[in-house]
Amino acid sequence: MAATAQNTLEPLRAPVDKAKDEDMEEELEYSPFYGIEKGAVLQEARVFNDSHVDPRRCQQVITKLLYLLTQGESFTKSEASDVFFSVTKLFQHKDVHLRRMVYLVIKEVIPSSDEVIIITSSLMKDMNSKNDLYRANAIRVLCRIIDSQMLLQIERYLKQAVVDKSAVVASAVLAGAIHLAGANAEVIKRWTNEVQEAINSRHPMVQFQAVALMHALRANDRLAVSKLVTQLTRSNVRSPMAQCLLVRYVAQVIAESQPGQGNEARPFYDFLESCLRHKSEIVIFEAARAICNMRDVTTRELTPAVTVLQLFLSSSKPVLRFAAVRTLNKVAMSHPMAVTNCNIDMESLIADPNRSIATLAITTLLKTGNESSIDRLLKQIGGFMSEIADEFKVVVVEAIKALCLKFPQKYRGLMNFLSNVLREDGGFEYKKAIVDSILVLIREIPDAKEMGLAQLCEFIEDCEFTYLSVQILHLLGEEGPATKDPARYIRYIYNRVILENATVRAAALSALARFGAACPELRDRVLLLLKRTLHDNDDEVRDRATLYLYQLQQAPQGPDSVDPHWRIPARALDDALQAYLAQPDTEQPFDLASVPETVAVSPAKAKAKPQGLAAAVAAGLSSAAAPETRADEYADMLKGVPQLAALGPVFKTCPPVQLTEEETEYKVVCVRHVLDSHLVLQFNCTNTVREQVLEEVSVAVDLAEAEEFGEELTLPLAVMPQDGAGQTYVVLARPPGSMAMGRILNTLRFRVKEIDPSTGEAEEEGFDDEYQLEDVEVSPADYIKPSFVPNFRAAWDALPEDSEMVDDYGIGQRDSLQDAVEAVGRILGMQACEGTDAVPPNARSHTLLLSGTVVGNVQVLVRLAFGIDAGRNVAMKLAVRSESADARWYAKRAAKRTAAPHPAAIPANTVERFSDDEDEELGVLRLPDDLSELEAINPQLRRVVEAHRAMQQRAPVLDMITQALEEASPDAKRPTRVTKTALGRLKVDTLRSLLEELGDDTRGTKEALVARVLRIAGAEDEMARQQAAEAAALQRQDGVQEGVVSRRQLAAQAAVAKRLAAAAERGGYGVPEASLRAAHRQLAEAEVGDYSRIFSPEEVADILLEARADDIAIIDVRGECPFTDWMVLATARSQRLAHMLAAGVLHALKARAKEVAPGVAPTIEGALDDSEWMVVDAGSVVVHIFQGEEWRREYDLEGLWGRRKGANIRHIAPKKTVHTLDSLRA
Amino acid sequence: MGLSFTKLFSRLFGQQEMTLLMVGLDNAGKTTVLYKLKLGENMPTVPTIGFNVETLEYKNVRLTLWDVGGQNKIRPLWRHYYHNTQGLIFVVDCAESQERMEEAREELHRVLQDEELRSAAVLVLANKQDLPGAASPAQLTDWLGLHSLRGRTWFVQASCAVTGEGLYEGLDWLSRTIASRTKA
Repeated sequence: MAATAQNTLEPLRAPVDKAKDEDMEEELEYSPFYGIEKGAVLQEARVFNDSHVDPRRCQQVITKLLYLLTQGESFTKSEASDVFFSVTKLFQHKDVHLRRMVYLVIKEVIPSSDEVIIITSSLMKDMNSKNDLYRANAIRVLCRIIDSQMLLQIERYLKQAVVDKSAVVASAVLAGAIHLAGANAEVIKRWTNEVQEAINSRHPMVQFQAVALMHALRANDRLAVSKLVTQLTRSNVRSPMAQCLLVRYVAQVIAESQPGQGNEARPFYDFLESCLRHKSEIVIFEAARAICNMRDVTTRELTPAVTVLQLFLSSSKPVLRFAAVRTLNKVAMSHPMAVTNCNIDMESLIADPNRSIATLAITTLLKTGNESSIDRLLKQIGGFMSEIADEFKVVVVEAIKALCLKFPQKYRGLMNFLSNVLREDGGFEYKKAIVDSILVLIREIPDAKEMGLAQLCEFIEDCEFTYLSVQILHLLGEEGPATKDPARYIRYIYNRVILENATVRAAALSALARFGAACPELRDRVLLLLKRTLHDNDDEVRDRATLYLYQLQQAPQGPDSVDPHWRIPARALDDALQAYLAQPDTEQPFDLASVPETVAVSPAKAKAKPQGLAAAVAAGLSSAAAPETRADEYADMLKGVPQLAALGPVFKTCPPVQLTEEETEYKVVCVRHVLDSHLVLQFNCTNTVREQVLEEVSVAVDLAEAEEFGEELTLPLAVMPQDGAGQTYVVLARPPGSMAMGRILNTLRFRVKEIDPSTGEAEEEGFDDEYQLEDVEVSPADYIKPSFVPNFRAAWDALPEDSEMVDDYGIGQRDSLQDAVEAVGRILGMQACEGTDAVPPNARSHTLLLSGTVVGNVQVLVRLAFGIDAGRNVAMKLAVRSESADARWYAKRAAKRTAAPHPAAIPANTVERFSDDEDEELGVLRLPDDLSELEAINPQLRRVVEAHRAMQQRAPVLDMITQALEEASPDAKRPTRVTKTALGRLKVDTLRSLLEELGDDTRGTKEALVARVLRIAGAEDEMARQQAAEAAALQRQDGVQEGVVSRRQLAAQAAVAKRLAAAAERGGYGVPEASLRAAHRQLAEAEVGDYSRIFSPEEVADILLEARADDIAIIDVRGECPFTDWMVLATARSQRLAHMLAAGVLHALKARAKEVAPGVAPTIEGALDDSEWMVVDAGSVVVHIFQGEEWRREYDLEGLWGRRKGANIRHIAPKKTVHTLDSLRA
Repeated sequence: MGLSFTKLFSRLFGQQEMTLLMVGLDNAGKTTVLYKLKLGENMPTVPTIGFNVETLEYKNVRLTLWDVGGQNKIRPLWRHYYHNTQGLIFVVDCAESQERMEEAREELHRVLQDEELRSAAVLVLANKQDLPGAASPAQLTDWLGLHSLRGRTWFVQASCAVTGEGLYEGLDWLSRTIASRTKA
């Protein structure tokens, strides 16, 4: 290439008029490609078509073409096609150099696939040529244009070429194979032996590419990669590049593997370490970087790598210095101590001619610096700052900020530095970075406030950026009045009023007014100053002056009087003002009260929205923006609704929860606002169906699982907007100060009006509809909000010691302590203090300090001690202090949500196992012996404990049932409470045997069995009561709104409850089974089925029919088979189809089970071992799928269960549209 | 010595150069013709996906012979090789069915309509004469509708690429025709 390029240089130089401009000539000397232009080159490319080809000239033209292509010039399709075909004509020439250029250019301009075929034959010929150069290049091009079919034709040849003795050829085919491995991995995998041989090649390039190919083939298989790496690290990889690749793969394997336990060495670490002594710098650096990037790297592991990088720091090659300092910079973030050794070398790099290196060196130094060295460093940087470009300065400023936050005591020096650089020249971005840093420091370090404000005051004296001036003035207005000597700022601010442009003047006035409002002693002087500006030549300034004067004279009650909180959405105001201006009569003054305080979008406006892409973008924006609405905005929103404003201030706003899936017709997001004695559910609704108008939108809540709440008020939304979000509210009352929890079921209800597509008008008549939403869960964390405690220890000690509650939990296996800390922190929703939310890597124990405020403004402090053992089980010890017992209890409740029972933490005598009202939780709670003590903490808890103790007295029976439940449940953590759901998960025959043991009737359907067991367990009466209460509650609400369940379902439920209650009253064993059955049938008809009624046999048959099963039969085995009512038999023509059929039934079953019996996980029996007989248990229907006629006959279920002449067997005729074997034969 | 003499000779008399394009339906025998002419021997060939190009000396004429594959998907690409073509060789498998002959006629006429081939001489090789039932050159002329061509110099040569019969006769005609044109 070099030789060829050299030849082409001469004529490429643009003609230069030496006499005119010698400088010009010099410049052109360096740019042989000067003035190459696409049009001209394409013109020149016609020489390829000449009948007599001049190889040299052609090479020059190709070089120009390649230059254009690599410069990013794009050719149109026809241009590329022309060039391509004219280049193919050069194949007639045998010149080796020309041919190589031909290959290069073809590879670059490969046109559409149907045209590229024209060179295939020529490539094949060259591939078989004697000339290695031809062969290698032909292979490279071929691999780019080949399709999988052609690949099969020449595979044998390529495979042989992998081990060709010419390195050029071997490397070409390997490079091509890496390309092909993406789409044709199967073919390439057959070359493994050859590639393996190539890995052992002496030629560095071949080895490199062979390693890369081998890895590419296994990239998806972690185990295979690991094996490959192990094998390669043992063999001798000579090529430095291949070695680099290997190091990278090793790093990848290390990243994916689990770090070794305790002191056990990390796998492959030795290998990386040995690479640090490699003779090639590239390998050394790669290994050092790999070590530095390892997860949880220890200082001991780091040391050799850092030492090597330190040597690089003083290398004469800039690229090595840069690489080293960049890597060290990264290391400094996690292991500042490890890098300290390099500080001296790094300091010398500050003067490095390469500015990138210098900046990286400085930022690294700032990160590793300790308190004592800061001053020295600042001095060094001070000189350097003026020399570097703004973007580097910004990086340095950021680093200084971070340093200052790390060492707050050093703020003086650092702040001085910042103000010094603030005074220097610099662009907007740079100044903004400095000002932002100072703002952050003022906020974070209280001591630095006065100093920072003073610096900023000085800065605005001579600030050329309006934006920054305004920002600083606003800050002065906010912070200034609270300082010791507010008067000193007045001068600075007033100077702005005299000297600056209108925007700054206006901002300065606002700041002044704030001083006037907040400091009564300054008010007169401020008023004087304001009066002076009444004659300003800018309208805005005058207006503000007038307004503030008026406000300060009228209502001097603090800052709120000068700028009241603005509660009206800007858009609504805009709309209202537009409407006001549009009306002819503007004599009437505009009434601010007429502005609606919630944003409602009229349907007419929604229709006017941009269509297509723009609409999609808008929708995307609104959906992205909606969840990010900040808490204070929510507060404003609530204040805007009079009914809600009356409820009092918001204690905490929980993060929004999406209640609909993405891409549904209606988008509903719920935000929970916790108030003193209420819970406000705010539903932000968006309509995404353009053809409908939704009116009278409200959300009906079902409080069956959140009993402590009472529904107080529903605020419907008039029209659901199509962009943006409309709000409907539900207000739930709870006992003041209490922390009610539970799960709230929601249904969206609305009136739908179709939009007539021809007129675009909504139709008059609408119909009511409802839409099921996800549940909202109210958890303890909702009642706790983070609060900041400046000194945790002091606050902890200040709370009385006897207010402390201590408990231990095991929270199971976790990846690391950090993981556990994050999980607990997330659930508790409290503020971590003293930076204890960060766990040092590899720590075995950690203490997390949390502080928060519980509703009712009670402070809670939590100290959590974590420990992790060798099996990575995390245990935690919880200590809570608070003045309120309730608060303690809730913090504990919340903590428990992360915890699984920890055997070691259960002292045998005081702790009882009990499951509370949330099924998925099984916590451990130390309960006082005296229940009245509990009463004080939480009345609800007392009820639960009482119920539990009462239940324990019936222990023997209960034990038996519980045991059955435990046996049936594969997951030992499942609750062992006897409930209807839990029993429903049991198989029917288990229930029967259980009843047999208990000496009870074993007949009847599954529901009857479950009911019987429950009754025996003594839980039935409670259940009946509960159900009756539920039904009654629902009925009570019925007049107001319909919930999840329809009236018909309610009635059916009530009937069941009534009968159950009656049965319980009679207390006898002789429950009239017929009546129960009738009630349940009614229930099933009302579509409130349980798992055993999940499918009718016909439905199952339909599914099978759709899925092309043969010979479907339904056997009615009611009264004959103990475990099911119906059997559905089907034959599949192949194993694949059999699996498909079973999976099809299972899919439908799961979809249905989700609604009817959550938690039940149906499976296919016999699917794993590819059995010829597969069974899916769908409650009262059991589906049998046979693979082929012979197995169906072999097992002969019809013969086994069918009555005489098959009276109870029904064969399902195949549908006409679906062809099965039978219909085909017919 | 011999080589330098030849060079000198050609310098003195001016060696003539010609670019010929050989097309035809697939499996007509184009590649066999090419290599018979180039190497004088029978090469086993595979269907040409793309083109073959060879230069050969014949009677002091330097011929560049392009043989472009005849498969359906390659035919639309023939046109890229019309430029500078002085002579067109259209190879026909005479032993093939009437339908294929029809196809060949269509392709030939399509090729000849191209502006760039306006002045090209057309040699039709009635190939595979050795096969039983092969059409005679006269019959082929009829089928290909060559008589309807106006203002075109054409010639049908019976040939058998495997034995090489008729190939050189065809080339003779082409070189004579082209040479006489360039003189005139």
